[in-house]
Amino acid sequence: MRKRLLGAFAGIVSAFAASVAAAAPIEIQFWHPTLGPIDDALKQQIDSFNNSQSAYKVVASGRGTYDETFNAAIAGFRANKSPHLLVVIGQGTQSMLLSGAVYPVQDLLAAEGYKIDWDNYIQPVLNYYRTKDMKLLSLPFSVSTPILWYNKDGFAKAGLTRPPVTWDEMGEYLTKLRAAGFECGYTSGWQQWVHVDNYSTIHDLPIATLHNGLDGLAATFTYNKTDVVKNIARLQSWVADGRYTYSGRQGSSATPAFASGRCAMMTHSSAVFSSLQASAKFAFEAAPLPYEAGTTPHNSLIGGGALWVLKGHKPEEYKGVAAFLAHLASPDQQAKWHKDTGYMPITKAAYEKVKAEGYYDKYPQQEVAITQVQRGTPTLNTMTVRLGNANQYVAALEEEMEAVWANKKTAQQAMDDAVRRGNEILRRFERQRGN
Amino acid sequence: MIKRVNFQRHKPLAFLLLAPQMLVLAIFVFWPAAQALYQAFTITDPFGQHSTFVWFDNFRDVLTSPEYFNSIYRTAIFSTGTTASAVLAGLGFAVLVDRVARGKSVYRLMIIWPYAVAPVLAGVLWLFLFHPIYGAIALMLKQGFGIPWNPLLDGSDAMLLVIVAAAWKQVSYNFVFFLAALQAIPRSLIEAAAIDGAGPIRRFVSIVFPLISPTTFFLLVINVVYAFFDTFGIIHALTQGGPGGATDILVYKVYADGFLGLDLGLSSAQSVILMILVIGLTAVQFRYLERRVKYAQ
Repeated sequence: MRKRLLGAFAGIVSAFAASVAAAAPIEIQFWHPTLGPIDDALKQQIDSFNNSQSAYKVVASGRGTYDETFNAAIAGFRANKSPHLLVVIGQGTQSMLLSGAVYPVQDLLAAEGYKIDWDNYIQPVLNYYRTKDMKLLSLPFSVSTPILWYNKDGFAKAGLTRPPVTWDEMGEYLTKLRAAGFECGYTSGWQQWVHVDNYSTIHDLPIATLHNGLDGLAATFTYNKTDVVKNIARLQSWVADGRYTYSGRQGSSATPAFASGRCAMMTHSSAVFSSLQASAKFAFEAAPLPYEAGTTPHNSLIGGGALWVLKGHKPEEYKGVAAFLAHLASPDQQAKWHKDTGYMPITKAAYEKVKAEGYYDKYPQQEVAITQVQRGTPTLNTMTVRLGNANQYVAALEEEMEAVWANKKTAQQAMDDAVRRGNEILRRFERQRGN
Repeated sequence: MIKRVNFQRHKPLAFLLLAPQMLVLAIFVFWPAAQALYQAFTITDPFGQHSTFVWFDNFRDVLTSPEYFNSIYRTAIFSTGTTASAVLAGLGFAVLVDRVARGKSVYRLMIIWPYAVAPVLAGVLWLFLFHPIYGAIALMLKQGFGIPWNPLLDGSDAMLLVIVAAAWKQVSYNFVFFLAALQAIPRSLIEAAAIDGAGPIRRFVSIVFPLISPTTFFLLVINVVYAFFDTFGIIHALTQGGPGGATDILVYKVYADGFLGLDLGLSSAQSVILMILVIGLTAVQFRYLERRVKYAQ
């Protein structure tokens, strides 16, 4: 017995000695939400970095949903145990910016001697995560934008040959699709993102004052005074005559409604491509989001996670962080990530590379998001939405939208109530930051 | 006779012996509760960079919002519905299984099973069955029976759905306690009543139910507390408080504002209010309902 214990002990000691002798690479902690099927693509990205050099080792750790990951990071920050890298959903940008915990990505890369020509990036993608003096705060990671998905077989049945261009045309299409046997003409994931945020940016309308909050915390919502109300009212009439079927909040319920073939059209994140590919048993296509007749569409708004670098780590570790970020931004990695996951590439080089491969001839759905975010010239209305407590004001807005679909309020009443509640939430955000 | 020890002359020793227990209570109960109470009076950012003592501002923000009073009303419906259906169904199943002659353990196992399902998972499961566009049961209701089922837009449908889902989980728990209580009733009592000519219903009303009243009371208290505190996972997975606030119960607001919204002050103020409500409710239960409970001698 004693001998065996001794043997085991010796074994542990030698294993330990061996690991020390291999001059352990510097570890970089990377916390991210678990993204389901996409986790595999993430693992491949990280492995490719770890295998490409031996000085650093990125250690990834999935922390549940975006909200759970963010909560874990806050707990870590308060206990002085932050990771080096953290994925935060785009709506959390203002919280991160004011957290005092952030090392802006652009500063880090400059300090570590990476000469990056930011003009080579797809600007509307970077803009979402920039300050008003155009400094990039975090590296876009799991980025997408809502687009229009449609059932091509269903279109053929209804005698339709191309996607609708304007919202009114879409209304006519829906009548035909319903006549062709679709009980559900149209549904939407992320209704607030599509019908308030993106509707506003595409038509160059402000969502809130101070350039949607980019210029300061005192911003107030204004979408109850724009054409957003008209858009919501139109959808209300579509609910009444069956053209629009509400499938629930956020994104998870709309996808099966479309993929099962029950709904003929869906507005949803461009990143649902891979899950549609896996589950839809019909030919489906994608098109840019419709806009109002007589207007020129601007860029749509992106959304999704970005990689934040956190303060409080050693200089040699930041070298590794910068190397990892540069690796992720390389055209090869970006192209692979885009194809594997359906998220958007962030550099023009990656986009050109994928295009040159002929990938979009085979999967034209994947190109729609990239062209859509580059429609028109970005303005201060279309650059970003930089408002705090997004989880709360979005929930209040979705609640009010449900009251419209259920015919309990008019579009104007509901948007007024959503703006009132949203502004109270924004004022609390200001007070939370000591203002 | 139970042996009693008197510490009148050794007070320090008494406190010393109590100390470990008090320490555990202090660290895991009193300290967090005090923190919540303190946070209810502050406005702070999630990273803890700024914290302002604001007296009753959080309470004012909570109590002046029309949505909060809607939430109290929804909570009353939800907790009454959940408690009543969970306790009644648990009792019903227990009475039936108690009378089963063969395969008792199979029934028992089947009924206890749902308790092992995590609340969020239970929510997802129910949503998948009852989603108005692709849920199997929802389509059956619509196409088979012509019932216009839509919990995504109809507040009553949504309330019904979350009550059934929340109660479904708790039925197993109640079942176990009721079954144990039923099996503890001496057979001789029931047989004597039967010989006297009392039918099954009469026997249940006059003998069985009074004898299991301590269990019923205990389960009532536990189920009310469950409905008030433990159901945010199901709400989050099923309705997120919607449609239009129809299932936005108090504990879900605490969860949504605190864990999702990271407004710790607002969330703490709400949990203090919720705590006061539940303490009051439990006190009422003990004061008025417990009088009718007959504990065994």
